[in-house]
Amino acid sequence: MNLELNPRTGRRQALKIGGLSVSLAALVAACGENRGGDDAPGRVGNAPVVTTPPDYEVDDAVLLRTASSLEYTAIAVYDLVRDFDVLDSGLLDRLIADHQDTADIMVGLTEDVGGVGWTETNPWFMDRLVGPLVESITSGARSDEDISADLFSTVTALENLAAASHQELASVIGETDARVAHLEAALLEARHASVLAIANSGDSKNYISPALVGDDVARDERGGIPYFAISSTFGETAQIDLIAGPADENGVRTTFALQTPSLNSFVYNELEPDT
Amino acid sequence: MTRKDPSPVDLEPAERELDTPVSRRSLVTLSGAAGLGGLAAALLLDRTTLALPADDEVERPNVPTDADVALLAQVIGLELAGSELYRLKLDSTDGDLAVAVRVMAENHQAFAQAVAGSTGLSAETANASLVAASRSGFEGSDDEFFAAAHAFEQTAAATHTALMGQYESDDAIALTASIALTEVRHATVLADLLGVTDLDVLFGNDESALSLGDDA
Repeated sequence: MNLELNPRTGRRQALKIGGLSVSLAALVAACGENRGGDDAPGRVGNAPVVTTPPDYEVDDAVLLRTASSLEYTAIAVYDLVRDFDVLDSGLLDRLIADHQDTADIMVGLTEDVGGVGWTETNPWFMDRLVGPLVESITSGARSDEDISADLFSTVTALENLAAASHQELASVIGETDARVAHLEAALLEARHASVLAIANSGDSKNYISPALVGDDVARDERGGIPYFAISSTFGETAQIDLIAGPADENGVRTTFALQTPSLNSFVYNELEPDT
Repeated sequence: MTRKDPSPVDLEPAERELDTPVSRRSLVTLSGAAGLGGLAAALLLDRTTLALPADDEVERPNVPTDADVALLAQVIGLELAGSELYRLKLDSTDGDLAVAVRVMAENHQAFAQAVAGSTGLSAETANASLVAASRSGFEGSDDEFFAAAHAFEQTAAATHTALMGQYESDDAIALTASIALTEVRHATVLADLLGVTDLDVLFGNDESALSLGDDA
């Protein structure tokens, strides 16, 4: 009797068993139910239970409600600005009237596509941007001049944001009438932003960003970010930075990031006013 | 001590010559891989279903359709006309104004090139009738230039707005929006240089859209 082990047969056997084991494991995994155990990632400590956000549909009505909410947010900021000596009253009234007209158009289009028009500010923008921004600008012992300068920069940045938001919405919305309305709103608010950028820069007339001719963009005399009537070759939808508020003990002022609406700031059809 | 490198035995060439055992081994390995593939497919099935568009969604083409290309070909002529007109002014100006004029000329050229890149057309020929219609204003005094250039930018913006409702593709829509936004900013600067303070002029647009298609 030959008891000598054959090493080749051993490897072959091992491959056979390995292949069959993987096949059986795959079969069992595919057919199995109630495998038990927690599928969530491992957690350490007493962290609160993660709440799964609702998955709401984003349709044309949501985009139009978001657009009108931005217009009402702009009006709310201009109403605040009226209490400070920032803008000529004729210009301020015109800016508010233009935003109200655009809001009315967006509300009408929302109803045309079967949605409920939104006639209030955007909750997310008010809570996360406008509220902290205004609090920062008006906090501490700041001069009226500093507050006015910050508010001027704020409304200029907001007009740039509004133009970028409508530009983006024009690109994604389905209804043709709404697409054209978004472009018209974007053009109007780009004009607002340009006029404010020129007016805010005094004699220096910030017509064209130095970046367009290959130069660095220096901060303004108060350390803020200057805005230009023409800041890029194509209309941009990128984040807009705004420096506002008092400096901390290190001389650093807060930078606020303004971003076009997205999933976190859409006014969904399920959202009710004051909720 | 356990070796972690492959055993030298596996490198024996003689083993590859054994046809039948190797085939069986491949068969077993393939069956294992097939099993794993089936498992992966089963696990991915739900996600694939979620990624499908809803029944009532209409897909918009990404790239310009034939109808879009026909319109955008005219837009190239419009934008190149703008670039050519601004370059006429460059010969008679200098300083900060020359910088602004050069930027606007280059912007219009960039618009034409972007449209050409999107459509596969070449950006070569300016709309001759547009150049002829505005040439005297662009070659005139500074104020005549500001007025003519302002009218051109307003006309271009009105034209893009009119075309916006006709485009069928994502690229045509997104590109048009980004071009028109800069053109109204040009118009605002030119109005300020002209000394305009009327808010109806600064924020409005009385110019009509061009009826493109006759002369490109």
